[in-house]
Amino acid sequence: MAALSTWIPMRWLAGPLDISQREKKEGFTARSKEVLQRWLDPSLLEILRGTPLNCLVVNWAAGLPADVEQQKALAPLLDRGKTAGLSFVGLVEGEGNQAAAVGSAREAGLAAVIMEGEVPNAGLPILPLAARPHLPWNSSSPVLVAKGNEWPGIASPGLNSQDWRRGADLQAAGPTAEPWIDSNGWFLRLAKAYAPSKTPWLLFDPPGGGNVILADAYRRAIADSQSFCGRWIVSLDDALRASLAQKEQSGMETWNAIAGALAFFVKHSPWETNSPLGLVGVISDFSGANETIGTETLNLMVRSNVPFRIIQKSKLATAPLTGYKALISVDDAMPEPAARKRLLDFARQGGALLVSQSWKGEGGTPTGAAHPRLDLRKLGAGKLAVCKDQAPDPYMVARDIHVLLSRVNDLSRFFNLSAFLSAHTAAPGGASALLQITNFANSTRFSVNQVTVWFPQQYRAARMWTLGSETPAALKLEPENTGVDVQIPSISPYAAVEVALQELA
Amino acid sequence: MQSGITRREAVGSLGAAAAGMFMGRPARGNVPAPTAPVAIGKCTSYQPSELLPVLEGMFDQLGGLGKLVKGKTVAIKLNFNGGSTVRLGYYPLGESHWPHPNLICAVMSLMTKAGVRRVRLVECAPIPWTTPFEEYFLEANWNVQDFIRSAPIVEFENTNYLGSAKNLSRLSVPNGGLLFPAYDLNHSYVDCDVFVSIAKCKDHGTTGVSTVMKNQFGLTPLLAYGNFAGKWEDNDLAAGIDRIRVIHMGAMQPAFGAPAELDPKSPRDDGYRVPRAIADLVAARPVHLAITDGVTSMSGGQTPNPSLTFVRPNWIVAGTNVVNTSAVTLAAMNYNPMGQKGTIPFFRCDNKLRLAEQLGVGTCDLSQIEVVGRSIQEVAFDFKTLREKRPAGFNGFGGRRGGQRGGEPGGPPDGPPMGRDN
Repeated sequence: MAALSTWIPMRWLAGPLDISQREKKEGFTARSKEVLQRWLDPSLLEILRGTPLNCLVVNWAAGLPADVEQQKALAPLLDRGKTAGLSFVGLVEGEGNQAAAVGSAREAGLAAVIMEGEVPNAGLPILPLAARPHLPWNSSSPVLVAKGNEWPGIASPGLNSQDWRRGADLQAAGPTAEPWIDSNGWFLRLAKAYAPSKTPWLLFDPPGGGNVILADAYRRAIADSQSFCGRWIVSLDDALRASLAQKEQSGMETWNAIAGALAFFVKHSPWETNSPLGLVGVISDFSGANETIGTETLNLMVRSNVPFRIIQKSKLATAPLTGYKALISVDDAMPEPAARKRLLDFARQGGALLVSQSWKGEGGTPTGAAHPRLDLRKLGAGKLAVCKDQAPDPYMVARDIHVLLSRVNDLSRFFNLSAFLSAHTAAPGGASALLQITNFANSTRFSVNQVTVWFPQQYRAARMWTLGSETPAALKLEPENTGVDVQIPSISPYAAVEVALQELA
Repeated sequence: MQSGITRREAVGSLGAAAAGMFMGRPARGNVPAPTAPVAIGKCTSYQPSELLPVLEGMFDQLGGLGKLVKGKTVAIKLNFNGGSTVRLGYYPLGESHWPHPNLICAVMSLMTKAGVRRVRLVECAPIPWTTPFEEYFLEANWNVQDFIRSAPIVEFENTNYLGSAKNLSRLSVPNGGLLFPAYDLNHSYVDCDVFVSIAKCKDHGTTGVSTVMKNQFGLTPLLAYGNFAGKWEDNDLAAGIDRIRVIHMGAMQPAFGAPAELDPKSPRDDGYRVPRAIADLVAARPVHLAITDGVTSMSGGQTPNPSLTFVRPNWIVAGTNVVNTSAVTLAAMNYNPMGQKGTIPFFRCDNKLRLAEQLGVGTCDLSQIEVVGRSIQEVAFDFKTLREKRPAGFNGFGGRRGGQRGGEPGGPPDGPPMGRDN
């Protein structure tokens, strides 16, 4: 059995408990029930052969009468899987007897359970489960499991995004027409800031209903997690599970695409040791009254493709501020005096500081520039921007900080990309940088060919990895505006661009 | 002694004839439309070492920049259509559909040499008013410092908004106008001594071609003429990136107190409306110096999409009468500047040059225009044939504006999005 931190998990929905939980939900059909029964068949484990998936998450207990039947029904699957070297993790939810559920899991030979709360003397690892962002960061578990995540993609009307942002025609877009992308990247950045040595797992399923989930959508879901150093507990939609049970070619093609994407990121797991790049620091405690503004600011920063790093407010007094050119501190309450002084000094020395309304009167002289949201002030050699609203809009915070920072400081600029997210990191030692780009555009409306990324550095080498590629493709570099244009033939749906000042190893 | 003439009145009177050397003939009625020399320069790259002497020679052929700009405030209308992050393939924007930054800086440098006091770079950029216009240059990957270094005082004004003024400035169309009687514009279009239009030469589905005249279309601020005009004064959001509902379709009237159109019963066809708006605007806000960047460009449309073709015409056209300059530019693109509606390139639109000629701005009759420097025949680049050869399904001309479908014969019923007209 592989070490827990190296598990590559997949959710294996099958059996009476899954049927019991889903049969009262809209869209559940006789076909759905049949597939859930069919997936109890141990022979289906064959699809895992040759893939990096080595851990199956099964529904183990939900405090429902079907729990016992479920555990019994899973036995043959568990036996065959364990023989094949797979680790099984039981998901324990609901109001039932958790101790009993853990005990039965231990007896059944599960490798771990995922659950909220603790059970003393469990006798097997418990992977803490919590709704993001409330994970127990200080847990001894090397894996933390988050629920309440998004299916990554362009937001659909009625889903996720706030109505006012979509404009009169209900397009899923921001006010300046950029597509509105749902991603879990922000949360993974937060997880890595709070628990850098742990692996965050994301629990989420494909959208149900009549949605057709294409292979690229699965690959995006994997890329969206992996780009930000997280791991999606791969979960298949009903149609794909039905297709795989029938060994249909179309289903197998999608499955192979999923497996290929997973294998790609396993191969490139060293990238997870890279450090996030970003000249903007986001300061918050991300909890209590500050949870919404703090986490939504992260979300919107990711969505705006403005590279940032996270500074925990509790560590602000000692956190190094070198390398930052702009800081956001929009928590409702002011930081402690020492921390506040550090931030004001940061601005006086030339930084841009965007702060909450509670900072009103903290100094500086008005610039005289009109602004609907910010009181703009000059402070020493830098800028102080105080929010006028007590509850600032995080979309505007993300946008305004980019203006305060100025695009002069862009770490990259993108051309011919409309619906995308990027994760920009530096390799240990800084010898190279990595820009992972996930393209969310499905239609021809959005150009995904002949993409250019401009970097301010005069890089001399660039290469691109795509999902499934064994070797990188060399990319053409053209000097442009004191830096270089890196030419990317296409991004579908993901590309990792490595750039270096010297030849890449 | 004060002249008693306001700057606004001076703007109107300067129109066709700037600073003596740019004097043209009066127009309207039986009087021929004005004409002034148009210079053509051969230029094969955007290297300053080639651009500067070519441009300087052209300006000398037109009578010299000094008479026009010495001690003056010059507003240069850029030609930022199509968005700042959309490229034709890998080509930087200045090589395909925006005028090249080196060319603009070269013009500014020559103006500086000629004694210009201040240059104001103006354009309606679809960004919030709280975002400095310079940020839009940066988004396009242009080096702002290059511009700042090119003139003694350089200002950047996003003319979608009020800027430092309290209201938009109203510019009336002489003799009443064709679509609107007057247009409400950012103050920078009035508060300047000299107005310059620098544009790329491109094909354009709605009005045939997009050059120094079409560039004037982008004078109209989204604040008053945008699709969501009137709905967003309380914040700084650039809600709406074009003027399709107001100008192309006539589906709504301008907001922010701007004058309504002359005849609400006139055709709602963009091939009728947009050329008239352009003609109105070149009459209302006269251009003192028009420069067409044809060093490199693209054929097939004005907004990049994969079906368009990168081209190297290798020329620059400049003149002091915008219609004359546009006519020579069209000829250098192998189009007939006097063509009628239904003929290439005016497939489904009225000829904006002829409309402007009717308004007395300038003639589009090549026989009446003196061409200096290189000849049209010497530099002509055949946009026309490239356009005729475009395969069905790749016309690149959009064609859905004004409720119409299909841009040109052989084109698809549903072309790619047109992007922003500026």
